[in-house]
Amino acid sequence: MLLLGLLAAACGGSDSADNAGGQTSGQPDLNAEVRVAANEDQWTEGGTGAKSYHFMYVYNVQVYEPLIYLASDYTLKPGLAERWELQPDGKTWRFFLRKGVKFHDGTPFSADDVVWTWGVRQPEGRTLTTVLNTLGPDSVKKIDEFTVDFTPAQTNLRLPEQIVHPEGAIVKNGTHNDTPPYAGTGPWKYESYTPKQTASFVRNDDYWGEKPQVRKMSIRFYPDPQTRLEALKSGQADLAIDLPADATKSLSNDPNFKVVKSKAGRNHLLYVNKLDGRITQDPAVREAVTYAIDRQAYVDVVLDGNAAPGRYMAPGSVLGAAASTVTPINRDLARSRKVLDDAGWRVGSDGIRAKDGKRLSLKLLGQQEVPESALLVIQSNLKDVGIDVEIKKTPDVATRNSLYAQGKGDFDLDLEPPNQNDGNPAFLPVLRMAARSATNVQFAPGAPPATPNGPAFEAEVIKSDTAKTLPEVQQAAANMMKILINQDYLVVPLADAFRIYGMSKNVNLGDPHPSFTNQTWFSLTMTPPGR
Amino acid sequence: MARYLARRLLVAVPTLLALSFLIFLLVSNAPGDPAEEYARKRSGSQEATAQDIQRAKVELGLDRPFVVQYGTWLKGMVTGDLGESFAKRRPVYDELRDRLPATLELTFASLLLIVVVGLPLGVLAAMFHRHWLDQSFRIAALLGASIPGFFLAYMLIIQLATEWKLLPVAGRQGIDSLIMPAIVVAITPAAVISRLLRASLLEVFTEDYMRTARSKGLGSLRTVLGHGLRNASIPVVTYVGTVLGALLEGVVITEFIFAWPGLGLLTLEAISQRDYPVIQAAVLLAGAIYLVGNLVVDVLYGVLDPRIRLEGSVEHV
Repeated sequence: MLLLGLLAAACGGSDSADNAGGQTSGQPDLNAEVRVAANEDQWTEGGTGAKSYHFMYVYNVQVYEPLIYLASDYTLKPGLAERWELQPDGKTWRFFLRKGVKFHDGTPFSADDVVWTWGVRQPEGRTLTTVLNTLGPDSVKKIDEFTVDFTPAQTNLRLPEQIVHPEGAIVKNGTHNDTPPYAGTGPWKYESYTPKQTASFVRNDDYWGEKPQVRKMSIRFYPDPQTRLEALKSGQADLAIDLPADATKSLSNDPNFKVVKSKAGRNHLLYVNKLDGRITQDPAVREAVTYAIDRQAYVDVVLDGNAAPGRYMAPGSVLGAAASTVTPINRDLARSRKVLDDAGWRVGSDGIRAKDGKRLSLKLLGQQEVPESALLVIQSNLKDVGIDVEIKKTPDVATRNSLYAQGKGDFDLDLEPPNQNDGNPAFLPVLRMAARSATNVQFAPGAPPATPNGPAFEAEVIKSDTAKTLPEVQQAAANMMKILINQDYLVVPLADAFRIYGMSKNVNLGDPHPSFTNQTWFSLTMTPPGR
Repeated sequence: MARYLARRLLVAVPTLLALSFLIFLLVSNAPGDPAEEYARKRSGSQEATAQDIQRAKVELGLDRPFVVQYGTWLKGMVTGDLGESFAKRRPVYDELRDRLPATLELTFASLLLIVVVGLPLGVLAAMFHRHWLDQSFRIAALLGASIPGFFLAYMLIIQLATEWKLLPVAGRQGIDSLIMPAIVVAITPAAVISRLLRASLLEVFTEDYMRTARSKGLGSLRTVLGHGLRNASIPVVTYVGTVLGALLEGVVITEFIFAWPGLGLLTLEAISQRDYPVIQAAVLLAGAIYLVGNLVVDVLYGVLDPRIRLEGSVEHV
């Protein structure tokens, strides 16, 4: 009987109306407990050994909070800083702190806590956002009880956009985020934590700002996305985060649940290795790859429609009006074939091109979180124009990193899905492609050239650092993308993916953030079941 | 008995030593550089400079010759110092201590299921040889032995947790949450044991002492349980001894699906982070438990069949 039941369950499906993203009616239950099915408990992965690291970052429950929040439209929103301004020296950012704020243990918040967090704690090796690694103990100065100056060693006008990252959330002077009682200033108070199993938080009724609309959030960690989905469907969770793309249809079709999607916040990108000796050093090959990719097929097959066809290196919304200056690329097989023909790559008897006895065969690297289907779509697309693709899927981060570093970059294409977790529109192009970045994608550093992506690109990097207005930095970021995507064909955008949240029909997320790292839970509400 | 045990334990020492060397060698030569991973984490960056990596090597002792590293590690193992996790900067002993209870709980629950399900099915199948009951058990055992663990796990979750709402989907939250992962882990060994026992019992049934027992008027079940089972148990006990190690370390997928915070998940995390000390200690622990399991099996041989001398030779009768 059990076996029959199991088979029936395997074959059966839910049938109901589409209610994705729908809103519930009725008054929110202020005493509700929302049970969240979250992904793997990753607190140790940062190597900090900091229990509450994920209270401020991985799950960003805002036990601790930053000086500035990053809103879901990628604009800046005051947090513990009410306002901030650039000083006449053109380097120093002055932050005016919120008064009357208290830590959960009753201690008043002041400038000393900011200096401790950003000035003292960082050199101790505690994890803080590395974008600001130019800050030292002397870079952050207390002006008065509620005013702090940040003076980076080099001009960085992007600083307010960078400190939104929850890694930089403020801890109390003299304490660490791995030391009980995990007292921050945020809207949620720490209640309990069992590593790898559960964490719970209760509303901070003394919070200075908009208070959470539910009494408690209980997180249970499910490393397997399918199990996470079942936790929601079984009623053992009210909200499930980071669901597999193919879960949306079954949930949307069930009247008991709904799916809420954020705007695009994660870009699936194909980085092209242009080092000496690689076939992809040939611009014709890079152009052919760019035009051979069917982005819509990628969205449909790999992400089950939960994305827009790729156009940018970062979510288009961060580029503002400048987004339109990045030219969208559509599949153009005729162009792809012609450019290869013109470059002397001739189709062989096996359908694969060759030139001077060398087969046009590329090695495609996929890190562990890239779905197999993504690699297969690329392989299939490129075969259509006579390019052979050998897939190399790395089983874990360490293997993938070992291929990147120390001159061992034996691959031509690398598929990655980076996140935009920063308010700086130029964050991703600078992080991955600027000469000065420690994380740039040159695939085999050795002795990298001073301007690996050319002087024009580096000039835009400098512009983005020093731009005084948002439209200026947006344009600089768009110009960088134009060079990489439209001109040099070094980055191939595949898809701009949405973040997927599944929930019971009586739960409202309110404001789904494209960057999960910056998701806030103020607007989470729950109505009593059956209303 | 004491002499026999002492001798077996002495044999276990070089076995463990060889195992430890093999583990150390294999882990040290796995792709990916732990110093680089460590340096990357320390700098909080995706890339680490050559200087960072060199500093990490010195800090982790990875700049020393292989033999020195192995010797230091081995000395630590012998003295109970399992070292410090590269990734978490806490003693490996603490890591194992935190995770071992969950794995032991799952292992013993699975063993219990294997015995409770596998043995009766084997006995009944043998007693009803060529009967429809025997055929049904054969089909059930075939299904049990061939169904992939991950598939069964999802089917159980969908049916028992999502549809019927009888059990928690996953997580370690009381005895209820143990049922599904234990079934998934136990089903294949239980199926194999039922078939092994059936075949072994059928062989035993033809022995003279079984005929004698029956001619004395003993009932069928009493004959099987009183005389047959003990003599037919040797292949079953051997199999249980070999699956013990597999149960302890081979439940990675089950732990992942059921969010079971045990040694399997710990090992998986450690491998992905190139956390050598944790990988080495976890694998060595599994190896040691495997050896102990086999030692227990050897002792049980003598208990089950006195003809098997503890000295190691079989008395021909």
